[in-house]
Amino acid sequence: MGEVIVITSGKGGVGKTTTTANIGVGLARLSKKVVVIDTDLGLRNLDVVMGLENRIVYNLVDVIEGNCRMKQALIKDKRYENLYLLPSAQTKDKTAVSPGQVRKLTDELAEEFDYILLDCPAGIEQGFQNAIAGAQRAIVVTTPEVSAIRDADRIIGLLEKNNIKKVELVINRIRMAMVKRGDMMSVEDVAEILAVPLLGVVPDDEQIVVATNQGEPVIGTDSLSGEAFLNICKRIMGEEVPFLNLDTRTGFFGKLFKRR
Amino acid sequence: MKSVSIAKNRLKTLLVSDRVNCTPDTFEKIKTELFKTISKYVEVIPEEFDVKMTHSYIYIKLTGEDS
Repeated sequence: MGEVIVITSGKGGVGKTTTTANIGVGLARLSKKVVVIDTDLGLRNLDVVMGLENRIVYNLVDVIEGNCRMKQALIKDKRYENLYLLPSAQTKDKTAVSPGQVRKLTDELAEEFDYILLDCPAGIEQGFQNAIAGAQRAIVVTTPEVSAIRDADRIIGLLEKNNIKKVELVINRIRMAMVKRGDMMSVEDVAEILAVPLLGVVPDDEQIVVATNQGEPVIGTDSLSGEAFLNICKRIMGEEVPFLNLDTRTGFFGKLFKRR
Repeated sequence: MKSVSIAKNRLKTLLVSDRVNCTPDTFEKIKTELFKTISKYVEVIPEEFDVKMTHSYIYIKLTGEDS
């Protein structure tokens, strides 16, 4: 039986889709059979981040409405043959599916896949309810900003209310230089405020923009963010991985002279 | 004041009101009443007394001692 994990945040623009794509790729690299599902109806994005936008024929709503079989809608990744995408519908809105239908879909997928990752839309309305319906586990993505943390806090409350027992935190776009100056909340600050276990920390990395421009994952490139995402995947699988020291390799010279 | 301290203070106020659905003002009243009620029965150090809320629990710090 596979595990159904929802990736959510409340606030938009904190990196849910990028996180979903990279965790999907990372788990696939670690030899797991993975499907990533875009549940943002009307604002399809995960396909673009993964560079699979030209291969879409059917989508999530087609499967739920019975216009096609599941197998016809699943798109195989360009590189990893054990990674699949179920894209969202661009022309429908969030009322086109119900939480019950999504749960039925994820239950079905859990028989075949090791991990089912759901990219949740921003907000706390029906799109959110749809995305969390079948999930046993949640990853809350936030950035070290007041508005993002506030929304993450509400989301954590809603996840607990909806009986999702395993809720973990990913802090995205941390900038160590700013933390040192006292101009950005630290990992410890954010984790303490939100009071849920920390799954990973991803540095603010230009490489993510470069990778996303190309529709490629950052995992597999020589980057700190790629390493951070891969560590997150290992922790998802239950491995104990120490947190990266994001301080050590800030620039070219930092890379040459690894301080340990 | 470092901007982080400002951010943390703003967040604290926001989260308290979000979590219990009450204003910071009401939360202060709750705190005061909790202090009064508890100090009727056990020893409480006013300077150390603190109330903290998470999603599932309300933590009440009485004396500042850890155990």
